Amino acid sequence: MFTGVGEAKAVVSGAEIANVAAKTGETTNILAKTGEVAKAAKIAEEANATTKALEAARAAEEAKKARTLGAVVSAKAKKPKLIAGTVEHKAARWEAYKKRGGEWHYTRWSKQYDTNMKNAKFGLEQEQKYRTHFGGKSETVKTPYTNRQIDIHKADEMYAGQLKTGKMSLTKQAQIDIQKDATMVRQGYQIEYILEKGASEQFLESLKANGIDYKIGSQIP
Amino acid sequence: MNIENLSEDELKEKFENFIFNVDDYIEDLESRTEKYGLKLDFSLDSLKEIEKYILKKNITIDDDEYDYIAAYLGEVIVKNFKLKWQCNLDKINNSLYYGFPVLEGLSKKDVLYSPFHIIKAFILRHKEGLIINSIESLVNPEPIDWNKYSIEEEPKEKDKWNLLDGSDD
Repeated sequence: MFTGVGEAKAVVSGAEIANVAAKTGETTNILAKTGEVAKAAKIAEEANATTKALEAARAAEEAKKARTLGAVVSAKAKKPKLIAGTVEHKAARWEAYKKRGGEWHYTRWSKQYDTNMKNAKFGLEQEQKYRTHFGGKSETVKTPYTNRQIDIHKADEMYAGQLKTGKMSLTKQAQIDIQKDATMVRQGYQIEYILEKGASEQFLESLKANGIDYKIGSQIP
Repeated sequence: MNIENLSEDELKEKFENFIFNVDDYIEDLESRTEKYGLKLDFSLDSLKEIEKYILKKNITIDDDEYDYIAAYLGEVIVKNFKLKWQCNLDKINNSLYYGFPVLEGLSKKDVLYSPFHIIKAFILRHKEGLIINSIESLVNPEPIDWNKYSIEEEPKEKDKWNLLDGSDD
């Protein structure tokens, strides 16, 4: 018979006490004196059985959790991708933020969301502005270190510009990107980073060491 | 003629035409280079000679020889690495070389080598060893030694972004 978790817990606490008591010489003596050794053994046996039932209940509970989690993961995988900046996207992000235990009230959170959205859009708009101003287009190329997106490609000059609208640091991702760009330099491309808000000293050093050019500050009027 | 304005069928046709003419291009190139005492034996070393030839004749991408030299470079790859020419119609991962005859197999899957782009780069940059280096960069890619640098944190603005970001969308 299946034993519920709460029920099993109640049984086991009584049984465990009896079990521990049965192991102590004092209690054994008392029980022996009253001729109830067999009863003590029976209690201990029941405790073992209850522990096993409890373990089974726990396992069943874990399995149930795993099944629920699987369903959630599967539902998440099927969820259509939301477009950043839309009402649906914002609502989903707010829900996710709360679930994660975020403590900002909505107004504070909403202000930050809007700022971030504006920044993301700003980056794409800036790329387009540069392409319009200098010519060139966005391209992709597969390198031995996975795909590289080129923000501004000018075919005639074999120029590949990478626009960075925020301040850059030598993060793990930046290292991967620089590695890809270094391969392109060896393929004869001129790679140039446009660092509108500058970059850390290490970032600039690693560009230089790998034959990558850079300009600091906005390059369009 | 802008390659982007051509349909896929037109590009395939152009590619077939190029493949058809490769032998003629190379024969023509051989006869021209002989006058300069250069021997084209399809070895990787012969690519150094090709660089010298481009510089001596001051070849530009408007010259017929640009096509001939690109064809020769491709054939050096074909013969030394047992690869095949293909027409690149991959706009998603390799739009950079879209419509060009390329070779695949010097590196991982889908990493392409475009002889036309490499020769153009040499014509533009005049950088000695560029051709052989371009092959090396795919066959034996050299990982950058990051040990002398420390990994830095994302700027604070981005941390805030991650805090708000609820999924992989």
